[in-house]
Amino acid sequence: MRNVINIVKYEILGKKNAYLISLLTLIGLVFAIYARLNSTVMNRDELSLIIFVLLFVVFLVGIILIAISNLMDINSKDLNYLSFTLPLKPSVLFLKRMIIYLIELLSFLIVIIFLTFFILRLYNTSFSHAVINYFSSYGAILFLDFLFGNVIAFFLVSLMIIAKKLPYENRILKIIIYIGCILYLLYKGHLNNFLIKIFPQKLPIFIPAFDYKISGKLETGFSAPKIEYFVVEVILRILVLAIIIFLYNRLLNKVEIRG
Amino acid sequence: MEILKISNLYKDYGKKLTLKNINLSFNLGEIVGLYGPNGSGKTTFLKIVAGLLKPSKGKVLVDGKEVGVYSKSIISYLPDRNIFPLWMKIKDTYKFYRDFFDFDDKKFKNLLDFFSLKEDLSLKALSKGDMEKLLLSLSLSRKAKIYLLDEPLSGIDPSTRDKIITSILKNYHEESLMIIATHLINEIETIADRTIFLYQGEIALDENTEKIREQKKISINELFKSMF
Repeated sequence: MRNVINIVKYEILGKKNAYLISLLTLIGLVFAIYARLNSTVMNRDELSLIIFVLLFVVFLVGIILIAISNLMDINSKDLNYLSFTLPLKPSVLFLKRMIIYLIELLSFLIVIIFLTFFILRLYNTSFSHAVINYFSSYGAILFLDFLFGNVIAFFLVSLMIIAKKLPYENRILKIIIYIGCILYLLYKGHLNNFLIKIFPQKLPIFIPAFDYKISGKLETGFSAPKIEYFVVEVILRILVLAIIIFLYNRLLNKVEIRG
Repeated sequence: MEILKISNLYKDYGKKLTLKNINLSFNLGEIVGLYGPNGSGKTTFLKIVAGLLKPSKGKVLVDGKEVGVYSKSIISYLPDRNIFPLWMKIKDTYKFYRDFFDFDDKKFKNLLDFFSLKEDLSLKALSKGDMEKLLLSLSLSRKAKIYLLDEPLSGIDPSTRDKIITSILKNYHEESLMIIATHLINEIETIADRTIFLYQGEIALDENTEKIREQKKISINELFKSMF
């Protein structure tokens, strides 16, 4: 555990300036959007909806950037001379990446959620009330759902990055990893639907649809579909995550640092 | 006492065979000069022992165990390039090593003084020579059983080379094995007890340095030039 804390500590120390710059950029961007739109003459309800959609785009771009930066770090910081001359088990490198990724993701989510709620509260429109109520009621489930899916997708791509460094003798394994990961990422939905048809049992939790319409010159609105959770889908996700963790550790044991 | 045993070692990168049937045994208390032209497999050999590369065939036993967490804890590897992130200062690199290895702070500080390096210097500000000195200081300050030094003198001016060799000799301890891979034979042959020539991935010579000089009546450098 001491090794995990130490290795996480050095990565965070190395990225502290990048964190500060990212935080200031994010706050600046969000308030620039708010200030720019606030000065336009528009229905306040419609304005709060546009701001919400723009913040949602910022959120999507942010999580993509966090994932890309961590994938690049796997290639440059985890699979390098320094990490591989340290007397560490592969599980330490896996835990390090998992912790760093979750810290960055959670910090970003907290900041963006806080900023979104802050701005929506400033508007105090019926749309902002609807959004705040929806997320207050179902935010926790949505958050866990998002986190779980995101971590699986991230570590699946990570497997391909690690497999790239496998020695020549493991070339068949490398191809299997590539094909397996790509097929899962492309056909995950089909696999889920297929399994749900066979095992249609649902979990006693669901998230109702969100549908908000604003009537004006043009009818605008924001909607999100109802989400139901099936037992087989959740089991599949847990199984996939377990396989990913197993493979990640196995592959780290086999990779080479050529440099 | 045998600390490193290599049996029937092969390494290939697909079509290219880099090491062929290497069989070697090393004892504590040896300083070994591993020489060979560029591309002869010196770095590949050291990287396999350090755990950075995997053998295609054969076995590497470090202190009786396969390469892994334990071997990495007793091997101090000096690579031929900077391995630290550039945001670090010299003091960060030493804290880093102290956090992960059995590290001799006093020896490190003495080496920094010997090389006139300041702890507060950023790695970005270091010249190639200073970087080499720092990496060597870190490697030698580890309380390791095996020291693997890959080209510790490459790109270093002659006066600094002398300083580096002096520091290697001063800090070498008898309860360890030191393997120095280089193509600058002249500088290392004076301190190496044992000479190994690698040529096209094969062992071309493995002999006691003094014995070679007595028998052939020439320096290791001259012998190398005559052979390759």
